[in-house]
Amino acid sequence: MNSARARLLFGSGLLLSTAGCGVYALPRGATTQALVMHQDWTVFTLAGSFVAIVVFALILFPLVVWRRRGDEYPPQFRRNNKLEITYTIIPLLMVIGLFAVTYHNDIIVEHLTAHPQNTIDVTAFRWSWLFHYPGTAINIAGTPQAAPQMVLPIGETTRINLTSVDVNHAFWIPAFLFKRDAIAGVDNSFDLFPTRMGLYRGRCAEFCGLDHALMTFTVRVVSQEDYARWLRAGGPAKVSAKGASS
Amino acid sequence: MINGRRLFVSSAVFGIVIAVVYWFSTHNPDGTILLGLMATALVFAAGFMFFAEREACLVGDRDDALPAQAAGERLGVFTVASSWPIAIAFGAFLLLLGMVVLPALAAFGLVVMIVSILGLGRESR
Amino acid sequence: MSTAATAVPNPASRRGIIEWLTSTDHKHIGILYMCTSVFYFFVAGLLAMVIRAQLAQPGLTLVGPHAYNQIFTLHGTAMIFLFVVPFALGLANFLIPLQIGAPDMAFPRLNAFTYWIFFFGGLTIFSGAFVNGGAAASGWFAYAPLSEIRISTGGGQDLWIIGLLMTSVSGILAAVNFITTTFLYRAPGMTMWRLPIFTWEMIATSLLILMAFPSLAAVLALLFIDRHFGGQFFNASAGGSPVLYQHLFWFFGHPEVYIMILPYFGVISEIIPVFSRKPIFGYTGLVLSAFAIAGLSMGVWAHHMFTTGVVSNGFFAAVSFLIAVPTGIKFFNWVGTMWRGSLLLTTPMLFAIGFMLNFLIGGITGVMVASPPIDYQVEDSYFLVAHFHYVLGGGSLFAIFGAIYFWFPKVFGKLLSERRGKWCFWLLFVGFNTTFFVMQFLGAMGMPRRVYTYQNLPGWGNLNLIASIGALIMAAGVLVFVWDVIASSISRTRASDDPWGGYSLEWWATSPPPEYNFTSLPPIRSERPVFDAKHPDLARLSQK
Repeated sequence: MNSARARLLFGSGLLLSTAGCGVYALPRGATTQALVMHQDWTVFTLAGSFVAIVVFALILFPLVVWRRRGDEYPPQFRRNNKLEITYTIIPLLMVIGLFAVTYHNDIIVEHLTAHPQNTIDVTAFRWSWLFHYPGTAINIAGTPQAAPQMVLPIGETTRINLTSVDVNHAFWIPAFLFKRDAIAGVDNSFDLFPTRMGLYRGRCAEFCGLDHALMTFTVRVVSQEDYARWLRAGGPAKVSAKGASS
Repeated sequence: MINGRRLFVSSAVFGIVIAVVYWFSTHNPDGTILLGLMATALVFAAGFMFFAEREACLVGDRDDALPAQAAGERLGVFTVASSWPIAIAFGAFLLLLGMVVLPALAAFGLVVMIVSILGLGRESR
Repeated sequence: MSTAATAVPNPASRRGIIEWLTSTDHKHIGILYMCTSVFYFFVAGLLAMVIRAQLAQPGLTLVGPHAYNQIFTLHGTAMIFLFVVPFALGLANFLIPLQIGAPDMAFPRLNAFTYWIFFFGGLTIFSGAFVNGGAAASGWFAYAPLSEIRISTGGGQDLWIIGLLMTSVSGILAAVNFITTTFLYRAPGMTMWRLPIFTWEMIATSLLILMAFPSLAAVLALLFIDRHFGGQFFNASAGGSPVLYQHLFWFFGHPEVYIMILPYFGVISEIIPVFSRKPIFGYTGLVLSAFAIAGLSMGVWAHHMFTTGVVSNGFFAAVSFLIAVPTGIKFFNWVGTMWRGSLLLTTPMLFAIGFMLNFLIGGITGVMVASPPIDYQVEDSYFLVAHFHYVLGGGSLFAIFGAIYFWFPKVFGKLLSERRGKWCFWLLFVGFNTTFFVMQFLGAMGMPRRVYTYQNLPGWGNLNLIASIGALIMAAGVLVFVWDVIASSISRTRASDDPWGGYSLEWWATSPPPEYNFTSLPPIRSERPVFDAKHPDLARLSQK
């Protein structure tokens, strides 16, 4: 590989590692938890890109500079204690730092408030979802052909209680940057605090058999007044909301 | 066999440490039992190395040894070829397959395995 | 002078196929393992081509969901259990006795048994395709309750279970053989700290196999009991727990992925020094980091379970981040070997460089998914598919090709073509990165894994089409490789004992080596005895 090709490889690596704008990117995040998750992603992507650039350069540089030209045998050195200790300590410090960031962010994302304003019981089954709003008669069940819709109020904490009645499933809303597994015998709970109104897609993310690919749902985040009205009306009705995002 | 001993002893110590750390950080019985059993297996191997293995003086461990110095040393018996390994494997295959499709096949496979293992044993003598 | 070993004469005829069915020679067994595993690579690769054809655009109907589910299950199972691991076992079988200066493995007949039980295990797994209900279709980790009898009703799942039990036995006994042989049969002067790095990595791999595979055997047996003997281990409504399945499976499953990479770290550590004309840099660090990785890998299993909500995300994230440190040390060892060297970009060296570039991306995305908040988005998505293909495909697969190009002359006595090898490398490298780099975006955008089709959302069709085109490019690379092997087998040109200027003892023997491997051995004073014997002036300067 000559010098020009090495530069091309290096340059395209750099370009690809900074790509990710527009539709081909992590969703912005539509909950407070998602914002924390997004920050985590950014820290790790930056750290990862930095490591990638440095190590790519370290690998490609010798290929350009020290190609075999004759019959020479270069200095046969085997070790350098100071260097070896340095390149052990520095990565160790980096991962400790990354762990501190992760641990801090995970606590926020997983935090359960003492008094959520709303609760929804979600049950996963082959191959759709049942949304039950406790304290009301609202039960929304779907089929693979007719995805059920969950309605959430903006600006309030909704507690989701999640379980499965058969195999493992996973409740994933990509726009919320969050998923949790639905496992029979496990009562999972997590909080969502939506910050943007809109229509979001959800899907099952744990392989569950034949129609796993069709096990979708939608989430409509509406104003608190619309939500209250919806609850009083007893369930699925036409509520105005603009736009849809995946 | 000092190196084998060192490997299993250090692995056993590691196993015990990680099992203990895991229990006190998570109080999760599943993982603690798994790590504990792993540590037990390693302790067993390390113990064997201590008590059952005499200090073998391996020519491979002497860093100044030359190949000529080991000339004529009897390493052991090495087979050139044998029909018994494939026969034992075939018997095991039939045994397990029989458990899924037909119990009589499993019984037949068990017989093939036993006969082949006996054959292997006789071949060694 | 060689050491004496007594042969047990076999009265049966040893021509042709009988020779191969009854041989206990580690070289024959190694070749059998490697050829069988490469066959399964082709099969699993064809399955992958079907997957990429089906997913090239949204809403295609080339295969229906039930067929698709069997296809991705068999693709994963075959690549992992029937290709990457057995190829390493085969390469180790061929190389370890040669590299330590021994005439054969410690237990030659046990060695033959491990191959044949693997052979029958692979057949059993695929035989599921011919039974009612088809082959196993619950994924390569076969989570219960999906794999339980009331949901996976066909015999295919059972055949998968017993096939894997057979390959587990194979792996465990091979590990026993490798450890015993390496400890007991080293040639005079071949102390442990002069072993080639490949042999050290195989010791660490063997230790991992011994600690991890029993957990697989246990979970397979428990699943079988649930399916056929009224067990309720994983049935929540009867007091069992699906989470228990995941603990048991991943306690095996995570070390398994290190079993799939450590031998290939060894391969890279053999190739790079030879084509840099320098000794490996930081030998001690490489050895210690192999064991650090092995040990730590036993403590990270539940990072596959972050989204279950029932494990300690903190503990598992911490240990998962720690594993990045010894892995990084290895990278610096390889860079240090190339530094100020005299580099020759032969085909094996290209594959080694490709390995490093690809594995770096795989490793970085691995650190990302080790962070639970990131994992909550990308778990079970195409981001994860990209991550593990980068480490297993971009990593292990590239190392396998590098190993084939490097040791083919030693094993078969014929050289592969440098020109065709370079074509093979570039097609694979470009195709591989085309396919899997874009999957990172697909996963972040929201595409889950294991889906036979997907919604027509902005960008999804384009990225999937790019991924499928990459697969075609890779397939072209594989075809070039096949052509190269065929052409080389026909060619009359024989390879010399040491076509590359190799370092370890296998390059002292003829190509291919005779029965019992060596008629003589050089003095062994470092991890590169052949180099030392051929360059005595440099040997004195570089000794530790």
